[in-house]
This record gives sequence, C-alpha cells and structure tokens, in this order.
Amino acid sequence: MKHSISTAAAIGAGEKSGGRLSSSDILKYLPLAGLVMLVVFFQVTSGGRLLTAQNLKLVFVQSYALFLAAIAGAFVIATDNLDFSMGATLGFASACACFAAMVDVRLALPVAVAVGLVVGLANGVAHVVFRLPSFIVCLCMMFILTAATQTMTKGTSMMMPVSMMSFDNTLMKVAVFVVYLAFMLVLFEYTKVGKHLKAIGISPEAARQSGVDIGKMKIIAYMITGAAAGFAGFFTLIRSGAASPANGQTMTTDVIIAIVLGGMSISGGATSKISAALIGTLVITVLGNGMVLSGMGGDAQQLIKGIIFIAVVAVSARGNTSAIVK
Amino acid sequence: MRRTKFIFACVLVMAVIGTAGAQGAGKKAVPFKFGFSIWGTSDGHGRYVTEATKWAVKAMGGDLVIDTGALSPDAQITSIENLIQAGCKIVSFCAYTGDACIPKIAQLCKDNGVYFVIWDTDITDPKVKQIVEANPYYVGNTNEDQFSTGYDGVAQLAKLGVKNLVLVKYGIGVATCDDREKGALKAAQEKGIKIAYTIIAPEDAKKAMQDVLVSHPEVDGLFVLGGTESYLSPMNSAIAAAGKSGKVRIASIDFSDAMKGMFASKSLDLIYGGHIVTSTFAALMAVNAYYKTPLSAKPYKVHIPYLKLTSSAESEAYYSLVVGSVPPYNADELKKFVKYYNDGLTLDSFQKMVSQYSISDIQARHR
Repeated sequence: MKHSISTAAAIGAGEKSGGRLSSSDILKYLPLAGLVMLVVFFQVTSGGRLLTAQNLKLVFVQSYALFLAAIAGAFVIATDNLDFSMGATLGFASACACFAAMVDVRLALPVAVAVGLVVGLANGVAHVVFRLPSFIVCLCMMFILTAATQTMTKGTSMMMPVSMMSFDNTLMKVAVFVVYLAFMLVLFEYTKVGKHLKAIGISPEAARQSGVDIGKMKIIAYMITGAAAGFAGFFTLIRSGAASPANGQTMTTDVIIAIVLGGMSISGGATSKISAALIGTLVITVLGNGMVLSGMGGDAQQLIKGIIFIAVVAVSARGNTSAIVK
Repeated sequence: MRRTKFIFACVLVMAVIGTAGAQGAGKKAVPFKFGFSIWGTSDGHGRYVTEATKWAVKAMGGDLVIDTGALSPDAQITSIENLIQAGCKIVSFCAYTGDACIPKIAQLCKDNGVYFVIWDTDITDPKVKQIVEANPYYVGNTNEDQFSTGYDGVAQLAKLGVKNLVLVKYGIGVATCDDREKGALKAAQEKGIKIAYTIIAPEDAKKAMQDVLVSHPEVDGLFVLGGTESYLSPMNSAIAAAGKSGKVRIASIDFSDAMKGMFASKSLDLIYGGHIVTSTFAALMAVNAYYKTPLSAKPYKVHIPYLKLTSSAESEAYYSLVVGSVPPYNADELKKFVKYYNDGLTLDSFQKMVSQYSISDIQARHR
C-alpha cells in the first residue's frame, strides 16, 4: 500500500516537474554521485594514483568480502531486520574452514558455507519459531560465535595451510563475483523470494494477507546472510592467511554502513536494492584507500571517515523519511 | 723542498681522514616514503607511537604515510597494500592481530621490493618465523622484555614489604601478558610473596577489586600486568574507598593518564611503560636496510627498555621530556642510529644506545 502511494506520489512529482529531476530523483542518485565525487577528489589529491589499473585491482580485492556480505545483508535489511551476527559468523566460519583445511584444503569452502548456513538457519528458527526478537537472537548468536572463535583460535591468529595461498587469485575472484552477483540480483529482483522479502519490509501484515509465508521467508533471508557470511569468511581466510577472533569484527557495522551509504533505507521495503550494497562498499573502500594514497594523517583519516558517514546518512535518512516511519 | 712535500702529504692525509670522520654530518638525506600501519591514533599509545615514528622519519628526510584501522589480519593486509600503493619503500607495523597474516605481508613486500619491520611484537609461531625470516626484505623487529618486567615489578613490591599480592591479567592466551605473568610468578616464588588472587580481564574493574578486598582482606599489593588505562584508576578508587590507600602498594605495566594524579596522591608506587620509541628504533632499523647499510645480514631483534617511573617528579619528566613538545631525541641524535651517517655503527652499538633509553638519559641529553 505504502509502495503504491509512494510510487503514485513519485509519478505525480515527475509529471509536475515536467520531466525535470525531482528531489527524490536527486536523492536516488546521490550515493552514486557521492562515489563519483569521492573518486574524482582522491584521483586529484593522490596525484593520479587512485585510478591506476593496479590500484583498481587493489580496491576490488580489498572490498571483496564486504561486497559478498553486504549484497546478502540487503536480503535481511529488506525485511526491516538486521543480522548483527554476520561479522561473528564470518569469523567463526573462517576458523572452521581453517581447521577443515588442515584435514583437506578442499573442505575449507564447503565447511565455511555450511557453517554460515547453519548459523543463519538457527537465527531464523529462533526468531520465527520461538518468536524471539531478531535483534536479541542475532546479538546472542554474535556472543556465542565470538566465544567459539576465541576458543578455537586460542585467542590468537591461526595460520591456514601454506598450500591454500594459491587460492587467493584475483581472476578467480572476479569470476566468482560475477556469478554470485548475477545469482543474488536475480534472486532479489526477479524471484518470489526477493519480492516477498521487500513486501515484508513494507508491511508484514499486508504481506501476510497477500499470502506471503512470512516465517519461511525470514528464515530464508537469515540463511542467505549466514551462507554469504560463511562464503566471505572463506575469502577472508585465503586473503589474510589467518583465522583470527578479529576476523569479521567490524563486518556487521560495515555491512550496515555500506547499505545505508549506498542509499538503501535501513527499514527495508520497496526501495531495497542490491546496487546500494555495491555503491556503499565501494565508498567505504575508496575512502580508506584514497586517504592513504593522498597521504592524510591518522587523525584526519578518522575525522574524515566520521564526517562523510554522518553527512551521507543524514542526507539519505532525510530522503527516506517516509520509508523509515512504519 | 722534501720537508714541504712531507707537510703537504700530511695535510692531505689529515684532510682525507677528517672528511671520512665528518662524513655523517655532511651527507645529504635520500628522500623516501615510509609507510606506518597502526590500529588507530585516538588512544594514548597509538598517538605517541605514531609521533615517535614521525621523529625518526623526519630526521632521516623521509615522508611518513600513515594508515589507521589495522584491526584484523585482513585489515592489516589492506593497510600494507595501501601503503605500498602510495609509493612507500619501507613499511612498519605492529603484528597486533597475530602472526598468521605476516607471511602474506612478507610476500607483498617481496613482490614490490619494499623493506618491512615489525615493532612492539615478536613472531611466536615457528612456521611463520621461518617463512618471514627467509624474506630478504624483512629487517627485524623490536620488542620489550616482558618476563623481566614482570619479575622486576614483583621484586620491587617485595622491597616495599608486600606479602599478599593481587595480579591483574588483561587476557588469556595473550603472549605479552603471559610472559609478564611468568616473570611475576617467578619473583613471587623467590621473594616469598603469596598470590592471593588473580583477576582476569574484568569488565568492571572497580567491582572486581572491591570483591577481592572483601574476600581477601590480607591483600597488601596490586600488580596490574597490562590494560592499565582501563583498570588502574577504578581499582585505585576501590582501594581508596576501602580505606586502604597506601596500605595496598600498587605497581603497573603500561602507562596510563591516571598515573600523574596517582603519583601526586602517592597511591601509585611504580609503573613501567613509555616504550613509544619501539617504533622509532624499528624505523631506524629499516632505514639502515633501505640505505643498503644493514646492521646485520640476517633479520635481528632489538630490545626496547621500558621506562620505570617511581615518583611524581619522574612522571612530570615523562610528560615534559618524552611526550612533550620536544622529542626525547633530536635529529642529530637519531642520525647516530643510522650507518649512512655514523660509519662506526654496529648492531651491538645500536642495541647499546637503545638500552640507554631512560628518564635519566633523556634528562642528561636535554640539559
């Protein structure tokens, strides 16, 4: 209902403005414009180092795990929920994968994804079947997994088998990413799963009355984020060579920041889009990379990060006021 | 004529010798970019260590590039990648997130011909050590002697008459903390001190100390093995609230901003820390390698002494002479640690000069 109202309002606004860009159109393209401005700024301040082929490759590999996690994170956020256990799942899955790799390196990936899937299923079941608030469930899961990872790694970092270093191949990562993105995009935009998840985000009651199995859909959403966190955990492991309690520590907040920076409402709904995860992830990575290339001091780096995040979120929140209020 | 020739020859020889002797002073700095990877600069240690690296790099005519946010192995690698991409020919980092990501960093440095040095940590995993030490671009590391510091802390408390001691550990399985504890336990055994209780990583330090004071009223000593910034002040206020200020003697490792007030109120007896030069000397080790005048053909370790403060006057000296507006070493003093400027420098003399780092040494040089 809200979707149709806002769509009608948007159409009306478009008609009134006579084909010119409305304020909602501007807000829609603001994250992308922000990313472009950021790239131009750092290209200039870094003396042209930012847009070199070598650095673009770096930006891609540095943002890889966040890309994987943020794209999946959009599925849960679309339902107006958050998965606070994503980072801990990533850390736990990478530790399990590291142990599995010590038995046979071929086990690392399936174990990481399976662990993530089971964690996601547990989150979904606890929330849906036992009717526990998703926030509490995920927070508790985060504590459990963090403790488990601490125990497994004995509080320090654990080296993966040296033979696994060859897995960290950029070409392979590109191929996997293309397939992953295509799959998630189709799932989110063109299948019942994606549409139902967005419908739940707009209005759970309306979705229920339209025949959407809310419980099942929510469990699926958590399983997707869990599996993706496990997948990202595997790639984090082969990139760093280490399973560590610190792996994924900032991932949960990074996913949320990326999605919001990318222009998606944290309350989900019809405006949810995969592109938000892509743009937001790039903003975070380019910001970190660009500041170092430009030789900015340590204090300045933290200050600028904070200011940019607040500014973008403030502007995005203003544009999405109607969607946030439920 | 012969005599004139002889005098001329002597003058010439003396001139040559003189030039060689003064070589260091006349040499021009070779510009370079120095990459410094750290977890952040908003905490005291992070801020001071970054400043301490700046002294060295600036004195050597280099340009310091900083990357903050190395909080996980993945982020540590990202940090090093960014620094190399920024054109750094030397990178320096603390293996804060553990050993396991160092082989990847070593490979990155080798692929890009970048020298690297580790500060404030040892590589403990033998497998990692073997891989990293085989890398021609690995210079070495700096670290402090944790065992001896733990030992000395308890030995000093014993001299103050402590018989029943509370130890505070900031983690389990943390090598630095474990080594400090081993030293403390050895001293306790030798000096006949009873470890009444060991508090481990308390979330509420004040409450933890209050509980211990109730359950172990015989406690007359407290030794904080690290995490001082979080624990020292709340634990001291618990001791004060129990009316035991001065009766419970306190020692701690790692400086805290609370120490100034605690020394002034005479509630703190002893504190070890101020090892901010750990990154300064690591930088100078790497500069030696970059100038192709390495101090050793193999990777080496330099021991950094902790500063030991026992009074309000020493605490004030620390704030004015070490982390004040004037660094504890000036550019000329720092150049003595680089063979390019100081021909006679050896690894032994480097370590000897580093070992002199103390409040009295700084006071003497600042006079």
